[in-house]
Amino acid sequence: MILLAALAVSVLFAAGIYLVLQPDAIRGIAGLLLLSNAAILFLVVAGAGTGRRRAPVHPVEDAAAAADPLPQALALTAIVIGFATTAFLVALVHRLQRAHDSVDAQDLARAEEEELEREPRPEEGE
Amino acid sequence: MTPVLPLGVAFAAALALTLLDGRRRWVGVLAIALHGATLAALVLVATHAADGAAETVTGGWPAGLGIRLRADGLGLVFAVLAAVVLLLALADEVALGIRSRWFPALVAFLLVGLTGVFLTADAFNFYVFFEITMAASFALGSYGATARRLRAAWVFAAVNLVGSAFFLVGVGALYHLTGTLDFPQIAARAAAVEPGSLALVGAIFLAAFGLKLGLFPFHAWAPAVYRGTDPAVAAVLAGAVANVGSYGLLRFGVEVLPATVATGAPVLLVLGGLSALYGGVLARNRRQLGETLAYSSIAQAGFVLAAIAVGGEAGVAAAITVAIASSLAKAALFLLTTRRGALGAVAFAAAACSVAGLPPTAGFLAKLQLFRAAILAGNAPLLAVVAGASALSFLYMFQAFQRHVWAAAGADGEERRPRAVPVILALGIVALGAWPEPLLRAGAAVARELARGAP
Repeated sequence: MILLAALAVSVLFAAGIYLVLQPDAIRGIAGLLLLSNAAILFLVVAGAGTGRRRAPVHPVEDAAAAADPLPQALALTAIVIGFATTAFLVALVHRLQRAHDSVDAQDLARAEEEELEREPRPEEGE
Repeated sequence: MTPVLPLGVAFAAALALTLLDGRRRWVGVLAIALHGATLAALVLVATHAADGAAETVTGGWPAGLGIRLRADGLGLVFAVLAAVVLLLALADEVALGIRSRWFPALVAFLLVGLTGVFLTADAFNFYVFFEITMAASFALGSYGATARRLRAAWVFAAVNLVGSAFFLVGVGALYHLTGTLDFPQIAARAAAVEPGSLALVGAIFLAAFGLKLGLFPFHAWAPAVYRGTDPAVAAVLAGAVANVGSYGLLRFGVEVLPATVATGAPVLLVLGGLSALYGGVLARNRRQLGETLAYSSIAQAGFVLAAIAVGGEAGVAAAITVAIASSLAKAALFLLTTRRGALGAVAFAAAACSVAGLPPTAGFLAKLQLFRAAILAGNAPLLAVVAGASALSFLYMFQAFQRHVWAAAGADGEERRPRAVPVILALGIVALGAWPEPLLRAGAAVARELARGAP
């Protein structure tokens, strides 16, 4: 069970990193979403069936199988935080698209270079 | 005097400012006043906490169950520093004229996040305030809303969100290994955990905080972001937000996982030295002042990590002094990016001397502490690296002064007239250097408190 969960976290993380490295900014957002969800899944699994000797609220027979509720609360908080930052990122990429007519990283880099070329060079003081 | 007071004041200020239009002058002045109130609350907590940390556990729960807020020396030093830098950057922008209705509110939320980060003793609460800080700084990154600012904000947001994911994994791992989220309790239980697992957790935190600070392998975002954002925002990012990285390395490295830092010290020293040299070498011959300052921040981050790796009271005191001096100098330099005029040039020179480590500035004290820590540890390579990086910092700061201030004098570029704030910062830097007692004593006291173990 733990192995399966660890594999799931790894796959999510790998997919997230792969997408973040793509030139398209929207895939970047998807990648960041996957990354944060991988971390959240890791949090939930970190508390599942860890063999804590006492169930936190109500006594049960097999206390070792009861999941720890604290990481689940942490995961809920992290999900909400991830949702808020994703909303911000989508708005930012929308503004980027309106400013550059493209969300491709190469177009953004070209725009940056053009702007830097247009700037006055500082004089080489000697 | 609980730590809730400055947090409450900051939060109330942020909420009040959200309802107001930041472009009006009186709103800007109100924002400065509210920031001043938060700073006053922090100083109040600091004076009352002289006999030990001021602690509260939220909700009245016992310490392991509730979230503990703790205002100890390290947290208060960084919190006051952040409040001062934010106040001055806000004052500068108000003097120039705020162009966005959300700017004061965002800076106020940034202050809430930073105060929370520095005053909490719970790992997940740290994450929540860390995210508040980052969300506010992402939004601030696009202040000005030109294409260049948007690109810088996108790079900043994407890279830092990867760092946040790493940090969350680290917190989850720490909870799984020790069963608690409270810093002092984690520190106590860490002795019973297998050192290999803790080393992995330490590496994760190093990645997360190194990303924030702009340390060598995680530095690539810094030049693009620091040259692209508005000067006031860049001052805030370099002078306050980057300190989350320094504070995190100090808190997690010295208090929570000291054994891991001790075993990993050679690696940390090498990374710190590489960062210092890399930043120093690449900071020369830059066309944009923002890029020079970005590489300079990379170098200073290397100094902080190297000081933490050297360890002991001298090393921790050096790390804190470097963080303080570097924050103030970077804030002043970024604010002076588009400023001209004789007084601005003098302020630039003073801040540049601080980065280069020339007396009588705070930066000189920081370098002094760093040399002292290296000598006390008997670490000759570190001494050589710090000396070399300091020489490089003199070189590139002088070059920057030549190109961006001296040679440009008299050219009619945009002259942003109000130069009160950078001059105040420069005066502060020189005052701290000319009267070293407060800075040195603060660093030593915090280092002693950390070495003694959490109260």
